[in-house]
Amino acid sequence: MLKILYTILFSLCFLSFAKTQDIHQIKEFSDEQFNKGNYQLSLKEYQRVLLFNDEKEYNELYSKIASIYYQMSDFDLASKYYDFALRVENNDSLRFELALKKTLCDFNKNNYLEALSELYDLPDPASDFLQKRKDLYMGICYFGLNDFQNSSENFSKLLDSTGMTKINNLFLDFNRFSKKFRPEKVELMSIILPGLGQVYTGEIFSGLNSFFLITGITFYAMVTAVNYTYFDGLLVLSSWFYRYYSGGYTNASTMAVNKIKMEKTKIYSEIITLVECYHRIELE
Amino acid sequence: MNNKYLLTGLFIITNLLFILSADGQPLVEADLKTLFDPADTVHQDYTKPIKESKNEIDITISTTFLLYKTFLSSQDVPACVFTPSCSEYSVEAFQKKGFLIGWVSTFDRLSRCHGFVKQGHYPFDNKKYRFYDPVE
Repeated sequence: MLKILYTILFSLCFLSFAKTQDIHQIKEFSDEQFNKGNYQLSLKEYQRVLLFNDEKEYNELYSKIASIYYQMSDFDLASKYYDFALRVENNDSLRFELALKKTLCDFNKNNYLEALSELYDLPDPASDFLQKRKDLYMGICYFGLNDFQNSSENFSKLLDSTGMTKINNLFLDFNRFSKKFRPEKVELMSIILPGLGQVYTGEIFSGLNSFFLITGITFYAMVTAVNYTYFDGLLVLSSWFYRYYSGGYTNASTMAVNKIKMEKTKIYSEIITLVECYHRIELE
Repeated sequence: MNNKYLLTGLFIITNLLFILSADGQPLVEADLKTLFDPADTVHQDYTKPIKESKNEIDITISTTFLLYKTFLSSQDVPACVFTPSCSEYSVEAFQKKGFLIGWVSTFDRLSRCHGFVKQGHYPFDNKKYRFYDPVE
């Protein structure tokens, strides 16, 4: 009995030196890691804090976790945590900011319809600046959906008539460009003459490669048919011809799609630069 | 009663401060500028195996691989279900495991590359949208 008592007393002596990490210390440590850019570690620790956040004193952590997921390009989880942050935030302006960040996640997922529905759900913002941001996001959203008329209407709220003329001209040029390199048209060109679609999109090497490859296979099949039987010729032709012929026109279509995407990136960059310039001039 | 007024006052001041500070903020955030960037347009360097070749057999295989990738594979339909593709796997197998085992590994890989591979058989690479099967 005495032995057990001594053991307990001895253990209690060390207990006085023992320290446990409380929720505030974990939060401080996580903030430190977040500021240092150790996102993985800070994410783990923030989630620990939220687990013990019974008194709801650290609700701002949802937004921080969301921004970590955003940095890590995990836009699904970022969107989910921005949603949590929106539910616990009471300040209208901050709620508005969080909703825009959630929309940004949808943009990154190319989910412009969902982003649009979230933007329409937003209440009227308290300041002129936030209204401008909403208009900008709406404009981008419609641009992503290739609805240039609505996109132009939203961008018009941010620019003057000269700026709008520039944007409308950009949209007109893009429409012309998209029609010129319509993937179906380019694909049809390569179906009619292998390699033609590729040459049309500017990929001359690939076009010539496709043309000579298909011509070579056809020539080899004809030689086989003449020297052996027509059936042998057909056998030679079918598998190889199918692979490289359909591969050629599929490639041509992909090249057209990529070309249009590149042009869209270029136009978007011009629009954003224009909006930025106007905003800077307004501030001055 | 006093507390209620104090809280309302604080709420208005916070909102005002937020609105005033917003005027200095840029309208277009950095994240918005990179939207619509074309996704995966990075071209792979197929001359790398030639540079890493150790002997004549390696050079022959790597050059055949380069010619195949440039003139034939670039024109083919995307039929391979794996990443790295069968030809990339083959070159790597020859370089890592030698001629005999490399040959057997290539044969093994070609026999496994077909349309009946299902989810769960191999890990799936979501970015390349192919099953991940590297040389071990």
